[in-house]
Amino acid sequence: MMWLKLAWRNVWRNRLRTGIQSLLIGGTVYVGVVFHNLALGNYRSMIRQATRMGSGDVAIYDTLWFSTRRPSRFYSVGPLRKLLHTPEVRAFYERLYLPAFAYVGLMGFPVNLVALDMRKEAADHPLLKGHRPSGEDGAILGRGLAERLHVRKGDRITLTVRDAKGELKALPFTVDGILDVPIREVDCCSIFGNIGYVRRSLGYGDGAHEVAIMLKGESPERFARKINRRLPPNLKAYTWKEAMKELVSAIAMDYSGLVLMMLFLYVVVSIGTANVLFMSVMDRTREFGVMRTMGMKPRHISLMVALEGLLLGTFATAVGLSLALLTNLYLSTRGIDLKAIYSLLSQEGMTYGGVVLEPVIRSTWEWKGTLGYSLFVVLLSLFASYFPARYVSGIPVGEALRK
Amino acid sequence: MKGPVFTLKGVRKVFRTGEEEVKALDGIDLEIRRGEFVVVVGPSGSGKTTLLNVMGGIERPDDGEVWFMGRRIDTLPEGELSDLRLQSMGFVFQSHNLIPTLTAEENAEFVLFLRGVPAKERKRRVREVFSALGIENLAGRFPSEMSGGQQQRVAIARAVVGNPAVVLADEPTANLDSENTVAVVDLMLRINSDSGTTFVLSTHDPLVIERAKRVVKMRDGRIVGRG
Repeated sequence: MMWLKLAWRNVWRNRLRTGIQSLLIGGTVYVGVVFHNLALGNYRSMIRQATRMGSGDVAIYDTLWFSTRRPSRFYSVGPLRKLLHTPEVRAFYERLYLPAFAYVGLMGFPVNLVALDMRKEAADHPLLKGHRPSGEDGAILGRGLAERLHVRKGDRITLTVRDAKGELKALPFTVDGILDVPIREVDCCSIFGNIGYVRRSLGYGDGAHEVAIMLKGESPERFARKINRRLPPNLKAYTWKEAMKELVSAIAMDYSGLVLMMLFLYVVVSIGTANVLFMSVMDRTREFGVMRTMGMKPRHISLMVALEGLLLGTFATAVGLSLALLTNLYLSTRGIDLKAIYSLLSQEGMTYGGVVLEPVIRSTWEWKGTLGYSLFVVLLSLFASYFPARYVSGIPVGEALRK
Repeated sequence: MKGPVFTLKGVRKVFRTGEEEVKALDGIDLEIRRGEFVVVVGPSGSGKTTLLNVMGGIERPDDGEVWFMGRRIDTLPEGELSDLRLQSMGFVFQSHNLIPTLTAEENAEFVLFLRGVPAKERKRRVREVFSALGIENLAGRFPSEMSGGQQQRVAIARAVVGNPAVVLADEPTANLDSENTVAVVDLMLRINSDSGTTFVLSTHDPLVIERAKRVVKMRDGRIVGRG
C-alpha cells in the first residue's frame, strides 16, 4: 500500500507533464478501442451483406464446383431439405448459376443467370429487398447491362443457356426490375431469374449449384462440421469463410493495416511514456540518493519507478477506455452516416471486397479486442518504465546525493 | 567508555574530475565510541561530507579500512550496505532530506515500512517519537508546508525512529537561523543523552561547535585537531 501511495503521488508531482502523457496514452486507447469496434462493426455488416447475397453462413456445393464452375455440377436438393429443417437453420436458399448469352434483337452479351427464389430471398438478399416479381419469367438485371441491351422495365429479353442435359435452349424473360449496384459483375453481367421457372424450362428438376444456409446464431464452423457428416460424398458444406475467401482476405488485409497503425501509435506513445518517466527520475536523482541512505535497495527504486509507469498507464487507460466505451455506445446505436461521403466518391455507392458497403456504419462490442488493446497499453507503459527504472537504480548513492 | 562504533584506518578518497584530482580524505585514522556526540568541523572542501559518506557506506574509500560495530564495511556489497543503513544508521542532510510526496508522519514511517514493521506498530512508534520530539503538530504536513527548521526536526525524527546505533548528520543546521540551529542541536543532544544514540555531525557553525562533546577538526582531507 505504501509503495502504491508513494508511486501514485510521484506520478502527479508534475501535473502538467503527467496530464499531457495521460492524454496521449488515453487517446491511444480511445482511438484503438473505437476504431477496433467500428472496424469490426463494419466488417460484420459487410459479412452480413455478403452472406445474404452469396453463400449464407454455410453453403452446400458439389465438391468440384469451386474448381470447375461447370453448370453440370448441380445436385438434387430434395434429400437435403429434410436435413436442413433443424432449429439452427433460419432459412436456406437454393440457387442455380448458369452462364448464358442475353440478346435483344441483334444485340447480345454474355451474362450470368442467377436463378433463385425471388419471393423467398427478398427478405434477406440486399439486392432483391422489396422486389415483387410480377410473373414467373420476371428478371432483374443491372443498369449497365440494361443500357447495353437497350431494355427497360417490361421489355422482353432472351437468354441462350444450356439445359440440364447440356443442350442449348432459348429462355425468354420479362425485365421486371433494373438494379443500381456498384458491383461491376452484377451491373454489367448478371440477370436474376426465378429458379422454379428456370428449373422447369431447362429440366433441372430440384437441382441447385448452391444451397445457402442462414443460421440463427450457431457457429458456421460447428454447423458445417455437423452437416458434413450427413452429406453424400459428392457434396460438401463450406463456411462463408471458405466459400468467400476474397472477402476474408480483404477484411484481413484491412484489419492488419489498422493493427499496424495502432502498433506504430503505441510504440510512439510508449517512447513518450519512457521519456516522461526518464525526466521524472532525472529530476529526483538526489531524492533517490536520500532514499538509498534510508536503506532502500536498488530493486526498491526500480519497483517504485515501475509502479509509477504502471499507475500512469492504468489511469490513462481507464480514462481512455471509459470515453471509448461511451463513444462506442453512441456509434453502436446511432452509427456514422457516410452517405454524403459515399455520394461524393460514387453515384451508386461504395463497395469493398466485392460487397456493397452500408452507408451507415455501426460499431460493435468486441470485448476481447477492447480489453486486449487496453491491457496491451498498460503493459507497454510498464515496459516503458523499465529503462528509467534500470537507469536510476544503477546510480551510486554518493553520486545521486551530489546531484 | 563503551566499544567503538566506527574505526577508520588510513582512509583515503580521491575524486577525479577530468585530469584534476582532489584528495577528499588523505589518510584518516579515527575512532568513534558508542554514545558519543561528535562534531566534525572544518572549512568547505575539507572533507567533512566525504568522511560522513564513507562512514555511512555511501562512498567507498580508495584505500584504508572502515569498521562499523566490529564489522568491516568498506568491502561489503551494495545490498548488505543498504541493510546496514536500514537497520543501524540514520541520516540527516543539509536540506531536501524528506520525500516531498509523503507527509512528515509518512516520511518517518517509511523507514519502518522498509524494515517490514507492521502498519499498526509503525504508526505507534512514529507517534511516540513525534511526541517525544514535540513535533506532533507537523505529522500531517507535507515538506512543502513546513519551514526549514521544521523539516530538519522531522528529518531527525525519521533518522531516530528506528532506534539506529548511529545518526550521521551532514551540516544539518546550515540552512537554519540561530534559533532553529540551537533547537535542532539541542534536540539531537537530548536524543543522544536519552537513548545513547551516537551522533556524528559535520558543521562549521560555531553555535553547534560550542555544544559539541567532542570535536574533530579537518583541513584538506586530514584530521588536524581533536578535542
